[in-house]
Amino acid sequence: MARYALVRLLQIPPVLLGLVTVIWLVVRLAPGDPVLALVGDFPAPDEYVKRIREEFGLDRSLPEQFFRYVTAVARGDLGFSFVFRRPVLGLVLERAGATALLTVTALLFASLAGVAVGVLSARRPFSWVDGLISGGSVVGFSVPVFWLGQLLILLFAVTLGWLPAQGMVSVRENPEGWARIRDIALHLVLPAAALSLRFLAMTARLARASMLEVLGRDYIRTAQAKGASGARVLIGHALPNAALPVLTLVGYNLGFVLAGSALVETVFGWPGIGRLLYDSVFARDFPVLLGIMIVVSLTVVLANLVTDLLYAYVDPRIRYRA
Amino acid sequence: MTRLVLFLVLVFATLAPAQTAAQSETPRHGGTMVFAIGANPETLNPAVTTGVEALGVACKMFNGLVYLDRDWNPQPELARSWTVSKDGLRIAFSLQPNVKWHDGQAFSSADVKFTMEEVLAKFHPRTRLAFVNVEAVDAPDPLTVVVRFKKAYAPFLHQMTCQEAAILPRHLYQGTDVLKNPRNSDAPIGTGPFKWGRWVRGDFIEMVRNDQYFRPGLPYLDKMIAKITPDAPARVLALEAGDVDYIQSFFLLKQEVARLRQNANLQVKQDTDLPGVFLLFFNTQRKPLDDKGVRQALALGTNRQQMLEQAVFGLGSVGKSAIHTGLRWAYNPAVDYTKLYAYNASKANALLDQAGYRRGADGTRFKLRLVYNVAQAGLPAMAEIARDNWKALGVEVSVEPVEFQVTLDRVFAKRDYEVTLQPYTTAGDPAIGIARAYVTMNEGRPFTNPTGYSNPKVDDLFAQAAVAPVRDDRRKAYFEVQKIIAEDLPALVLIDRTEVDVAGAKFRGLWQSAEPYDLWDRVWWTGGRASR
Repeated sequence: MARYALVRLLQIPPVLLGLVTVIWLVVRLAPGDPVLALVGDFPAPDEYVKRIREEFGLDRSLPEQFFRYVTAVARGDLGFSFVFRRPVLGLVLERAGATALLTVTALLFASLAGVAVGVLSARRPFSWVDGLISGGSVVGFSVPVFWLGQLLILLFAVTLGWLPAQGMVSVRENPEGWARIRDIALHLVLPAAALSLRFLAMTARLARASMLEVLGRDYIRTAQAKGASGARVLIGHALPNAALPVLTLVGYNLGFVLAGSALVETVFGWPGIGRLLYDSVFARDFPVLLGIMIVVSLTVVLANLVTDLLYAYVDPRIRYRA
Repeated sequence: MTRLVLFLVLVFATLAPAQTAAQSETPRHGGTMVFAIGANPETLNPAVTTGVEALGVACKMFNGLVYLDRDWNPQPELARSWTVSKDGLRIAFSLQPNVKWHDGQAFSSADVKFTMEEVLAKFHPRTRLAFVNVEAVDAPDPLTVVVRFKKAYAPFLHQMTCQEAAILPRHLYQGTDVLKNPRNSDAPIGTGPFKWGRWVRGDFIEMVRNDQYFRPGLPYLDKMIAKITPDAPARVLALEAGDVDYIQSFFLLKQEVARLRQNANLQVKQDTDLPGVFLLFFNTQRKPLDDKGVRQALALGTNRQQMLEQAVFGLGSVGKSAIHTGLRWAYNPAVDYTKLYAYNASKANALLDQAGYRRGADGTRFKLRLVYNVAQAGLPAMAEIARDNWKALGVEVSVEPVEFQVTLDRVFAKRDYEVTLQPYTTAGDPAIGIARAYVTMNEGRPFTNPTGYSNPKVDDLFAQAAVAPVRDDRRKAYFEVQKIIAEDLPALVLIDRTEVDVAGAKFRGLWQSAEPYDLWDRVWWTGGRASR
């Protein structure tokens, strides 16, 4: 187990180097000049453009720029934002908390609710409840998240006035203590719901299929024959085995949830890194763009590692041989 | 017709009470205004940027020497008065006494001199060009600033607003790297009506009332909050939900305006910013657009009324001349594209035949690529209308929507296009915002003249108008140049835009300046207290 973990950990640096190289190339080979994006919609004097180019090292050759970047990243320096003129790490970290809150809430909700819905659905396969859930899952899986977000705002913020439409806290009041936590929780409801729906649907589908498979096994029949109640068979016997594939899905989903958060953060004005990523693309703010991608990739790689280890730990049959 | 009457009645019904009330009511004190911006400002230093987010926030904390009134005339802000010498080579500003920076330090002419010489002349993307004409800035006493020019530059005074030339505190910027000064991103110190509160990155920026503000009794509001609302439809929903009180035109989804006018909790105001235009540039270095007859034919074959109605929802008017009709002193009424180039497909077809571009066997005369920034509201619809209109002329248009950065590269740097649609601001003066689209430009600089059109007479007239200290002389040159451009037509003005802002109905005193960045000290809330 320890050896397996070590091998997996050693795999991370080459994976990251590969990622940095690919991302750097894609970002730098895309058309567009960060200096032009920076000087705005008016002709800039030549010496001004030249000075900015020198300041950010954009006057050097591409291989030299790449080498300088990779060595800096290896030292933990993600560079300096062209647009904000501040170190990238600080920019990313001050937004990471909000994104973590949103994605973890959404993922947790999607996983728990998804399993619950999947179990409910598998209990009486092909009943009307199952049909409703399966149909709902298809809709939930296909609905575009930005559109869903706007509908949620329209219904719950504009029409009913129950929940706030934008942001993470109420800006007019400045609640403190418990009131603040409650305020953030209220702001979190709509974006987390919008973000989780797709993954809830995916989890529910998988949990249903997995439950159905397990429910057909001999040991379930044995449990039923011994007189265990329906609920006990479902929750106590079937679910632990059926939940294993779902666990893999959670780790796998993290990357997608992070990607989806860019749209959700934009629609709900949630102050996370998703929106920062979106803005950096249009401003060709390479250091921020790369910095976010590196942080996100690292998170996904680590999450997958944790999932794999957890999987090996939970399922005694699987003891990987590294 | 009845629809039009009904519409006008509705417009007046929503606007008239607000205006008369504003005139008769006594301002009240206190309250908070939340205004929407689209993204985090890239800086809080208004003297080094033209970013709308940055200026929208920072100009509530900083001032220029002047502000522009509703007719774009400079009025006293940090400068109490000024005199311009007859030859235009010297402007002397007399500064407001008793102005304090937010940290308590006294404001003086040294701040103005430092900001002009060390910041605006070096770093401001737009105003930097005005300072090319400046010989020196003198500060003979603490309340006097004298700007001496090598060459007269008429629009200078109009550029001394917060938007174009905000004044920074010398004691915090001198000897530092201006672009990397920490005050640019945290706790900036200005002279404006509101002071720094806090910034929850990505969420909102809070500013609080400056009790030491130089205009006694102002500002009326206690707080100003910039709410970062990235998604345009969500921004409108936040306004309707009451989370946000004000959306400036730049951030407003124009297709929502008609609906918002019906909302009794809101007030909609048109004509809120310096005029802008939508331009159609012809690449005159490519055949067949090197022939002005072809350019004129394409202008005749463009249904600009349809563009006005369908692409910008009627917010503006069909362009009449190179100079926006809103710049009343400079617009030449003898030039009128709505008559000269009134939509007429058969006349356009005849002109193309005459120019020697006959239809081929498939009915096509020639092909053009139309490049535009897909993210710019209005342009996709205009591009489709142009393609449709020109099809009737036997001109096949391949519409090429690209991202903003790619537009800069293809249109301005490489001139790899035949026709392009571009939004330009006039910046309130033809010398700043209009000349750049027509004067000779050999290098590929963004937002200049990308057409390759070069006419020494045009260059000369624009240059004369920029330096003539007397407005009558400027007008003569502009009148003349508009006639030449109307004939040569390197670019066609599609639409003279008007800007529209929306605010909560309970706010008064808005829109007293021609720029959306000034005079927020006079805004008040009807729910406020009778006295402070």
